[in-house]
Amino acid sequence: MKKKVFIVLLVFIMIFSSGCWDRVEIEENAFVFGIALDVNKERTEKEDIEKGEIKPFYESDKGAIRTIFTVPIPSKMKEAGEDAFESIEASGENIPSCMRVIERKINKIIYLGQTKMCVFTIDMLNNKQYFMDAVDFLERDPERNRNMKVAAVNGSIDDYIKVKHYLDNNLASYISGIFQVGSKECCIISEDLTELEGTLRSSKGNAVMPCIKITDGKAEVRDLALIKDYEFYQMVDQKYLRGFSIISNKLKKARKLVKYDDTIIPFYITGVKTTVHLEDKENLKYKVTVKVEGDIESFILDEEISKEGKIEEIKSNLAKSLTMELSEVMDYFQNSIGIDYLKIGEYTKKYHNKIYEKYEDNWDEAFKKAQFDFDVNVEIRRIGTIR
Amino acid sequence: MISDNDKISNYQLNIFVILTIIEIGMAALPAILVKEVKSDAWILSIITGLVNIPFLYIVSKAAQKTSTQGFVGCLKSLFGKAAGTILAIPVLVYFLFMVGLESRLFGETVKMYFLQRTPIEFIVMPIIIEAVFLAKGGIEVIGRFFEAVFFPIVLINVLLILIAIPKNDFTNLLPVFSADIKEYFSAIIAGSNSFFGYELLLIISPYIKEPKKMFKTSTKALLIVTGFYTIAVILNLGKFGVEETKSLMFPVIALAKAIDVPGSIFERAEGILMAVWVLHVFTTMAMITYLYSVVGAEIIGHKGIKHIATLYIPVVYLFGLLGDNVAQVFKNINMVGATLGIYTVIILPLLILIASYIKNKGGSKG
Repeated sequence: MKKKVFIVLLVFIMIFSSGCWDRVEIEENAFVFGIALDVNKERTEKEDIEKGEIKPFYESDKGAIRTIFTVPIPSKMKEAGEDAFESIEASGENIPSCMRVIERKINKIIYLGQTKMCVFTIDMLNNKQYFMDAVDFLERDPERNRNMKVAAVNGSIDDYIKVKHYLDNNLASYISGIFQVGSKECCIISEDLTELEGTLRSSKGNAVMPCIKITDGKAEVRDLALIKDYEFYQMVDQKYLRGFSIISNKLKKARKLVKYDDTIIPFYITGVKTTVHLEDKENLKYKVTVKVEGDIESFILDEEISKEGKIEEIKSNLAKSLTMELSEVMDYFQNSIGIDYLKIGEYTKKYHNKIYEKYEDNWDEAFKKAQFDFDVNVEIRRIGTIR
Repeated sequence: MISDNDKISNYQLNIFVILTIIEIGMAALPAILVKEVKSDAWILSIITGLVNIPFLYIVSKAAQKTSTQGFVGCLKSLFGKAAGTILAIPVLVYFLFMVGLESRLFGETVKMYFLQRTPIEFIVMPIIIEAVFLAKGGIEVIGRFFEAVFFPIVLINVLLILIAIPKNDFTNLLPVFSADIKEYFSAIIAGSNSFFGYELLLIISPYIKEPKKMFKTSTKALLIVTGFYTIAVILNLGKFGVEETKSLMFPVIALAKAIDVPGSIFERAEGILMAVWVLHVFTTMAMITYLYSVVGAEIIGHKGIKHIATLYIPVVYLFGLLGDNVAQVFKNINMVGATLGIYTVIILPLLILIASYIKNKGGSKG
């Protein structure tokens, strides 16, 4: 009996003396769907602190970076469409200080566990310190969603939040949806936070980031932002992205046009497998074997595609065309970019570590001089419902 | 006299060893190994498990000696009353530290990932009290509890492993054997802490039904743990690669957070991981609480363990609070493992074996 009384007493003491510290009602949370980060161009005050110097540091509301958080309003979610989302803006020295500024204005707690999208403007990427601070915070914060998509924005965040979002009532889910679907259906390169952090660390500050281009209030995911030493380096044109995705084994599905006689035929790539093989270890000569399979989406109306030799000819044309495309992409990355974003170094490190160690200190130079031979094999699996 | 009901079968012993070894430290193990030997970490995990087998052999041989008089009783009869007691005290302190640090690390991870606003004391204290509550029931109650939770733990772990496999790049496990021999040694030392726990044989040997099969059964358990740890390291390397894994504090929890199951059947798998984690931590803590209670009771010649288990709660709690931050807690764990851990797992069992050999030789001559 005494024991029972003791246990009941203990339970009551624990409940009433401590309670639940982490009790947060769902309405108290501001679930951030999207984060947009930019440099604050209107900053007037500047704290000049020399390296290592310690002096009082007062937070300013006109901080170095501007953030916009897209937050849904739960009560309006069902009917209100666009009005169901609020864009809350703040500037601060870094993301946490922006969050503090916002929390002074709203009656909710900022929660990054459901964030779908984080975008950085090119100005933000141009500032090494701000970019590193932001990535470090997103990586360090245990609550944030590791699978949120990341992208660069070619424009200001003001233009970005005003972008027209088709068939979706929220900008963040609209853009992350483009990445999700686009990476499966066309050659949009999709990068999430985990991949970005991993690449930045393993490539010593080099990474790629898909880019959102804004023109006349409309967004298009195109081009590729290259980051070198934690800073924006260069933009890669859309035309190189399919080749880039094929060589770096990121392509899932895409379309390719191929010339047959006088007609341009669309070929839907449904599967790609790229293997790299180091053939000549002395001169760093690589053989890149690409196996592509897919479907013919249209042909010439009054011609029979299944007639002998036609499919073979299309296959041969496709293989030649792809070989040329891949060689051009490689040439572009070797000579115009000059940095190994194609992860040839990573392959060499994994499979020929001793060779890699020889060039480790100056791998990009070795990459520039390396030779690449492409062997493309195309298989046409389906030709549609017409012979 | 121990009743037959209190005897531990080989199957139970297997579960005891597995559930005692797997503890919260596993959440940090991939980072510890990858930091030392990069992509060879998964090989190192296997090697570290295998390196522990000879030590397990020494412990189980010494445990056969302690099976008749109990751990402290054996030490007293081999080294004399005073010396035996002195030799047993570091083991008691080691177990107290183990429970304290385990509870602290558990508190830190729960606070970091789940209950940010809850004071750590209120996370740590209940689990210590619950571990004491189970330990007070004795070896039979612990055995039944371990048996009951073993299959749910296995099932959840298998589920987590399966959902963590997609979207991994297993070429991250390459290159192999790229680290030098010095790095391998430091990785084995750093990783061995996570394989400790089999020293429980020294204390529970009087209750084991078939002491002669102790080594065989425990080796099986150790190999299962090694396999489990290796899978964890492989999945972490596959998901994050060398550099990212190295930089993470608790890569296993980060892995659960990064799981993206196609079709969104599962989201936020860290919730499932934490559910099984609580059981892992609790089983380890309950067993070690039982171990310190037995050693503590035997040192002072007390018959029951109930009072001793309760008596040491403040000490366990204080040991758990040592260290201002997680980095210091890790330092403390390494320090305790490198000193008291090595003493309990290697030095003391060897001393027991040597002393009993000398005593037997002397006895047969006499």
